[in-house]
Amino acid sequence: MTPSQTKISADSVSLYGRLERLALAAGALIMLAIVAASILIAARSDTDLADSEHAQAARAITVDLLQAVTSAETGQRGYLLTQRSEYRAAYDDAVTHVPGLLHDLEQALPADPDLPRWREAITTKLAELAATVRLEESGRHADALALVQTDRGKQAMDAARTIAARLSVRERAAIENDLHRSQTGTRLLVAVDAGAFVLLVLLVYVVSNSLRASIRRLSQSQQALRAANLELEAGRDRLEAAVAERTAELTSANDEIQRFAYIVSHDLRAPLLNIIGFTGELEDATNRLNRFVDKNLETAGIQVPAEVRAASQDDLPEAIRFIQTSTAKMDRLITAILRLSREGRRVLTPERLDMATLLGGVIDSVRHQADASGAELSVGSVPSITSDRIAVEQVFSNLVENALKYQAPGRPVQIRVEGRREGRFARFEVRDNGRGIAERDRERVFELFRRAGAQNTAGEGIGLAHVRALLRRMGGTIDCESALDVGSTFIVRLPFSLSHNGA
Amino acid sequence: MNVVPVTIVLIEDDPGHARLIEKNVRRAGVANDIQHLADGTTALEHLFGRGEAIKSDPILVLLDLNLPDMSGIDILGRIKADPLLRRTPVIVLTTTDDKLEIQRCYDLGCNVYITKPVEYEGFASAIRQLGLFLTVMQVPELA
Repeated sequence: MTPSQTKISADSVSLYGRLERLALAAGALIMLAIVAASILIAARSDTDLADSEHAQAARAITVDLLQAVTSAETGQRGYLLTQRSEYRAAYDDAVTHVPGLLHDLEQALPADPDLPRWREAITTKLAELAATVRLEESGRHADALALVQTDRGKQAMDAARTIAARLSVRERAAIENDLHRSQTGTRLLVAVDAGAFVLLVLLVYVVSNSLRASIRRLSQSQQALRAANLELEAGRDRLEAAVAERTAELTSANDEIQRFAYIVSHDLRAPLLNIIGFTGELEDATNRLNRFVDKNLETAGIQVPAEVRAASQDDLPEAIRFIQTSTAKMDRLITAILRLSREGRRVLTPERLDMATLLGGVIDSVRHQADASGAELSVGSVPSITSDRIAVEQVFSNLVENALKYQAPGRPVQIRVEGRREGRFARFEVRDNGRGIAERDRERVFELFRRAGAQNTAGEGIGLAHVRALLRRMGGTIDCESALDVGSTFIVRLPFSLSHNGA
Repeated sequence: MNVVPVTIVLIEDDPGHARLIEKNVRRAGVANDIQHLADGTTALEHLFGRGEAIKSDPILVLLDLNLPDMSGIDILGRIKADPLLRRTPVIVLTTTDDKLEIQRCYDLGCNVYITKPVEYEGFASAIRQLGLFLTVMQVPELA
């Protein structure tokens, strides 16, 4: 899967976000609407209920009032009929209630148009009743009856009754109205809640859909990522396998070279030994010959021609001498190669090295040499590393010895070793103020059997080649900075920690 | 050396080395016959094809291990396994100083193992010292 397919585009992310935000806002609004509607409807219901109660109360008062007037009338009738005080008491009792009830009714229905007429009717009736009772009380029974018969009282009562009926009807209507209103409110609330519920369900549906879609997208991209990861791992495994293969190839090639160098130098020694040996025999025989010739020819008095003398005294010894110096040099070179190849096969054993102590040891080992030429050697701050002790000692011994060897004429050499950490490597500098190395020779000095500058010191030119080979084996490098007649700095980089398979 | 003359059998493939060994041994005062055999096959033929002659001629073997046609170890093994020849002093004189090789030679019964120095001075000196050693050695009769 190509990388572009695994990405969720920026646009799609924001779109989903917007939809969800809208949904949340809509949901909140709907909730708010429900709450507001509920509050409103509840408030209205409250009012309706209060009104209803009010109307009920008014109706009760109306009934009570009519009842009171009727009771007064009944009391009056009874008194007129029997003149007994119980009936008088009943009438009195009923009459005392009326003003209060009237007052209450007027409080309850202040705007009712029938109320004043009802008050009038009742007042008239009560007045009639009061008059008849007074008449009866004072013994004027006939007058009382005559008053009743005028029907004034009856008319007033009828009027009162009619009005009461009207009031009653109106009150009942009002009560029904309030009830109806209350019911409507409740129904409205239910409708609102139902509508809101439907909307919310819709909203939930929409949001869950979009969430599902985005989850699906996420899991897709997750799968794509996993697939890409697997591919990456497979690729990395292949790479590692390839690297391991190459390393194995290189290692075996290197081993072959080492074996080759060893065998070659070993097999070169055998004939070399013969050359050296028989040159020695040659020299020995020549000397014997010369001694005989000198002794006997002189005694015999024979003149030895110049060229014969030259042959025995100059040519033979000179030839032998040249052969001997050349073979000696060959011997040294082969020894060096043998040692290099043997070094290359030695197993590196990493250990923690206190570089300050190690370098101190190197300097001590060249103390006599240094003192002889007045050299000053010093070690600055150096980091400790983990590496092969023998190899590291060889590297720095070689560099220090070189610095001591290649001094500038007339100037005692100052050699300083310093080091610091550079990431995964430790960087050491061996700085001297010796004769320096020319630009064109900078790389040459690292070649096997090559040297640079005035050849006035002993040496085969094997040191720096060996040093570089050693460092390469340990995963390090060596570089040289130099200026003629000023001095040189050799920069050694070593891994801070040499692993066991540093080969 | 003892009364019966001992022949020194030198098994060495390089003729130059053989000659130098001979010269330096002589310089140490050894006057015995030195017989030079240049390869393993010839050596085996000479040693094990002699039959009765062995009874009269005690020998001392100077053995180089790097022979062209076989390893000197095989010759050492055969000498020390043979009921007649196993008393023969065998001095291994070879270039290798490998510890395992040295152990193997002594395990097979070699009497002395000498590593030839690879440079001539040491070589000549070592051979001369070997020669001096030979002059004081007692070589057993075989039969």
